[in-house]
Amino acid sequence: MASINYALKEVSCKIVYYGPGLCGKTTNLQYIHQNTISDKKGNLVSLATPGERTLFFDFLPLEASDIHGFRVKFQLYTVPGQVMYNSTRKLVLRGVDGVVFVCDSQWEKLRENLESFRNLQANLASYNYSLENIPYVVQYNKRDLAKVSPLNYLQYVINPRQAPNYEVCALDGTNVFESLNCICSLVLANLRSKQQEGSL
Amino acid sequence: MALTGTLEEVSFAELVQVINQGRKTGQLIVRRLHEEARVHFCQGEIAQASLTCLAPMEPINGAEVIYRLLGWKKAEFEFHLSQGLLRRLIQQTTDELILEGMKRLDEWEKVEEELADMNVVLRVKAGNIGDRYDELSDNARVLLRLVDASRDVATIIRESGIDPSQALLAITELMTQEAVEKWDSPAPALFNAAAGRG
Repeated sequence: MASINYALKEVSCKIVYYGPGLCGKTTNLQYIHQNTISDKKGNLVSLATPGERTLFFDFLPLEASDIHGFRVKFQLYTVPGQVMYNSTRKLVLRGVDGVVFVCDSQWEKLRENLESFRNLQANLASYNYSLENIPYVVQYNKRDLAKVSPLNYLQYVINPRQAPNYEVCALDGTNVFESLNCICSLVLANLRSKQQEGSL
Repeated sequence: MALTGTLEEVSFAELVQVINQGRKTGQLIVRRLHEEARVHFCQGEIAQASLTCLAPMEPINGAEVIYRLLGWKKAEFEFHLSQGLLRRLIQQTTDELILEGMKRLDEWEKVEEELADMNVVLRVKAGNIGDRYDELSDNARVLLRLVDASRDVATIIRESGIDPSQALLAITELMTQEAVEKWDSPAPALFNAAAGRG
């Protein structure tokens, strides 16, 4: 959940990019980092898994507008997608405020997408979190490739709750910022409603 | 007043995340039988870490201490706030340290799961090395040359001449890269049966 630093008058919100291995989570963050002006971003930190199949974790605070005099900061993380790194994924999810689920649109990746989505739900449940109360958006990445599943089929399988969704090509940046703006707005709205309820 | 508890109640990773998010400065002491670790925080970032044990062994310092502490399941801890700022001897951020350590644990668990004992025979996973051979560490390449679907892990490590702890890391690397796999060869089973009768 958002961490509040009263000394610095700062609220930090954590957004996690989740999805199967090689689906484009890191490409998303790299694109955002490359296309954000330098005084609005922190260092992009990456740790490689063996074989450098995927970047391990990225950290990127983006400044946003104030809420009641508190500066809002977003921290963006990716998780390692390969199945074996589950403890690591769980650790990254601790204190999450919003999730971008990155789905690989290719036909043969359907099962991996579904497994990863179920894994996300299970790992959230281990912290008593749920997608019922944590805002999320779904990205259908790699839409530029030839053998992709039809959009309405992916929606049926991956996104029956009809969370906001975007057709994305993370490599050229199509809809990368649109989905980021969407999740940031959802997280801020969630924060404001919690504040009004008095639970924050 | 100190913050105290056991790692059964709060895992080491969670504890460090709490201190990190609160940007606390102070010393965290983690104790279990014969071992004591001290981790110094400066405004939430890990500045120094050391691990000492009663056995006549050299103390361990730096990031390695954090990686080991992540594997501790039963221990007592106490955290004391302090004012003094210590020189930062660990350069990685706390987030990086914890995630790197967790990644190592995940990799180790995979190896443990697949290599229940050191008598498991390994073979090269067909078609899986290819271009990735260049990315393997030197130790992993040495071990890979000894993987022949008849030697077991213990033999590979012994014949490689590499320090066993380093060799185990290289075996982990080969397994996580999926360059090698477990091979249920009949030969060692016969050998073991014969040895059992003897």
